[in-house]
Amino acid sequence: MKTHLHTVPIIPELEKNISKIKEISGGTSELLFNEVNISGIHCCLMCCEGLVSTAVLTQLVIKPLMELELDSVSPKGLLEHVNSNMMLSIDRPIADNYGDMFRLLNSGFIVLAVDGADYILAFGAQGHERRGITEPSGENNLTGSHDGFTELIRTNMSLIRRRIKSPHYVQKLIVTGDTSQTDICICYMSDRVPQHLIDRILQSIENIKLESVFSTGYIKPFLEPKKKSIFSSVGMTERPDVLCSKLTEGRVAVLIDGNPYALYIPKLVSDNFQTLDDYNFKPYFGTFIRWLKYAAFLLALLLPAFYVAVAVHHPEMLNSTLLLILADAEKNAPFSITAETVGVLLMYEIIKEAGIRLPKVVGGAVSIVAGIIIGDSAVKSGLISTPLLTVAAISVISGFVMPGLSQSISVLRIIFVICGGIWGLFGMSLCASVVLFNICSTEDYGFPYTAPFSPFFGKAMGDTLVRTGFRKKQEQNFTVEELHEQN
Amino acid sequence: MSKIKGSQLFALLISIRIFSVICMTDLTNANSMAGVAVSTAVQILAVTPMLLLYKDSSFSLKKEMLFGKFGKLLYILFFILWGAVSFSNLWEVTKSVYFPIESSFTGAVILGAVCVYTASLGIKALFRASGLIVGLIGISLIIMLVGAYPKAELTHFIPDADFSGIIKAAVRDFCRSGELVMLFILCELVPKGKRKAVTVFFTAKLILTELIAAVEITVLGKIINISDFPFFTAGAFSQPMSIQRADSVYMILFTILCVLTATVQITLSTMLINELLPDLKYKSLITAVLMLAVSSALNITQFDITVLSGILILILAVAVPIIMYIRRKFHENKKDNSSLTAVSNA
Repeated sequence: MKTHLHTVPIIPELEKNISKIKEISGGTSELLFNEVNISGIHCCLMCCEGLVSTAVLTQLVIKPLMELELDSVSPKGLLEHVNSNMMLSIDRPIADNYGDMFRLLNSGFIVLAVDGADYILAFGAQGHERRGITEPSGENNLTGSHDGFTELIRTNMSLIRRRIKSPHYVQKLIVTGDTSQTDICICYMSDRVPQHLIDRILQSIENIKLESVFSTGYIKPFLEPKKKSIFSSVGMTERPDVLCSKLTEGRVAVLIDGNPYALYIPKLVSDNFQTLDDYNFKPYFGTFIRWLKYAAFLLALLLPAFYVAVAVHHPEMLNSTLLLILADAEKNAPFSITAETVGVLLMYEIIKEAGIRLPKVVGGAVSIVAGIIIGDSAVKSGLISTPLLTVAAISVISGFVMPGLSQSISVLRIIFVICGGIWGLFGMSLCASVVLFNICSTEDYGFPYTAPFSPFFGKAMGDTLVRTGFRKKQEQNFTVEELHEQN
Repeated sequence: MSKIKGSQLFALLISIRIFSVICMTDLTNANSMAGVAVSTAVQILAVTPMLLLYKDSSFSLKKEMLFGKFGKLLYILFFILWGAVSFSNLWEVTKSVYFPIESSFTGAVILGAVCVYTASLGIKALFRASGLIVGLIGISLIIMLVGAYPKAELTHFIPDADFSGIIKAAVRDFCRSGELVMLFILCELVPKGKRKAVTVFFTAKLILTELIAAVEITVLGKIINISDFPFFTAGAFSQPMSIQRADSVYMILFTILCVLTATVQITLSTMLINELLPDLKYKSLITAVLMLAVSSALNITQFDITVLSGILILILAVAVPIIMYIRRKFHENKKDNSSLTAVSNA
């Protein structure tokens, strides 16, 4: 990402150089200037307060520089000597323009400017406050590792590198966002991902003209197809172990500085039903859990709509006992079943949103109000029927099984209820057709979202329809490239 | 142009066929079942020239002179007609089976709107969706078989001595095999595995049609003759679980297959219209409206299109490929002769 400052060269005269830096930065307070004489040459050490480690600055940079004694050395000679003969830090970039210099300063580098030199030397001494590696809050696992990504891109890169030591694993850093100048890292296995795919992804990111990039949501739309799809074809995880498994399958990951989530491309529909625990359990149990998840998806999406459609338009589908229970429950309800169901589902979404946004201390109160006051009293007062509340609860709980699909399910569930309420199973089928065709049209960089189910790819069934054991899996060497569809 | 797998072609064709079978009203006895078998054998013979044409990797439907403007128009008309038949089927089914819609026309309009959207998503989405719909067909048939097993009476399965019925049933089945025309156009999109897909399709078509017919006949017995749509009645008679009726469940399969079939017709028509009138806007919408209009006309006039569709299938799926094949062979021979003459002259 190049700004106009990248075209402004460093002024060799130190006084003018410092003035220019102060002018560009607007006299910002955290920028510190330390003018010193090193081997008789007027120099200035600059850094951003709070971004550098004070210990590193004093012990590893200032002290050796102040002890440096060189006879009749030129300004450039001094910088060359410091760069070549003194190992002040591992990372010692050089900048000859103010764009690069400010980027280094604002990234926690110490900058050494020398009077008479038209470039500066920087030392990596980042030492800002950071959140430690903690367990991911959104993707809980019983038997997997307990570390999650953090906000620091370098830490996240190291978390992956610790797991994949292969020399074929590549991490490419690029910068995007004119103002935020956010570091973005493209991660992939060079022996499993075709170069044309990497080029296309890099091209997509380079095409981003956003002023700032603060989270994954800013990048995601540029990696997704332009067609309006209901489900996202870009995956997201906050677990390094999950991301590593995706990378070894030949997918490409995108890390964004300042965000503890990684994106991966392509995401397949089956990814929503896989968790790391599946691979730590016995294969039969893994398969059982997977099938439960598929069933849960259908329940989450269709159960309230099916209830409404059957109760309103197709009561002949129920046996007499069920029909009587339903009729008895609904006879006193003041609203139509469709309105009642939509109301309950909307209320749940409101409560969920309140639970997420409110401070944790108030969260308990929300649960009490939602569960006891609204739920219990609504049923007792006859506003909502008990069977409906049961159906809604089953559907909502089933939706929790696939957190990656929660957004789509929340909206689709209500649409299905409305269609089921108006046109019964016929309406539901029409709605299902729309969703089915939409899912089938979703693809990212030539990878169909519905693969390996359609187009059918038998080899991949061992990790989608069932969960085969690793003895069998080790012979397969599956990569997503096999699912790539020809145009 | 999108490249499609042979298995996807199979999935699409078999889904369209199952929709036709669901809507069939005359698969009522052993003779009609035999007629289907005869018709399938004839269809296999009928598609042979088509497959021979596509066997030649240099063959492309787009490049053929015969497939010019008039040819394209004829195919467009056929697809519009076939799409209209899908809407008419919905129209007819809603009259006999309870559909929670105000009127049959409203149902057809809503379905048309859905089809316009699904067609706008492209041919790849269509093929992928058909792959998943085949799974739905499988599940529905299993439910039907499980439910039908205790109700089935093999004594209902008595062959009729009137063998002319077999011929009539075979002709009727051929006239309903619009998928042959679709096959001719769609084969262009399948680079590999055409022959295997077609072989599997005809085998599956025969087995599934006979299976559904057998279930209908054995479960319904004599009732089949007074039933408007035996598939739905058989569904109502066979109860897999302790629910009172299950025929509404088959409404889901019927609706999804109807959407798929109409979408295929809209997509194929749009594809061909695009070659004739590339600047025309809202092609899918126009096609869907035309289909609805034709469907309304068919319903109002009660016009039986069996003979007309039979003739069109014969022309578009059999005669055209044969003529194309002969022309190609003739040109190849001419080329060989001219090159031989050139060699001998040299």
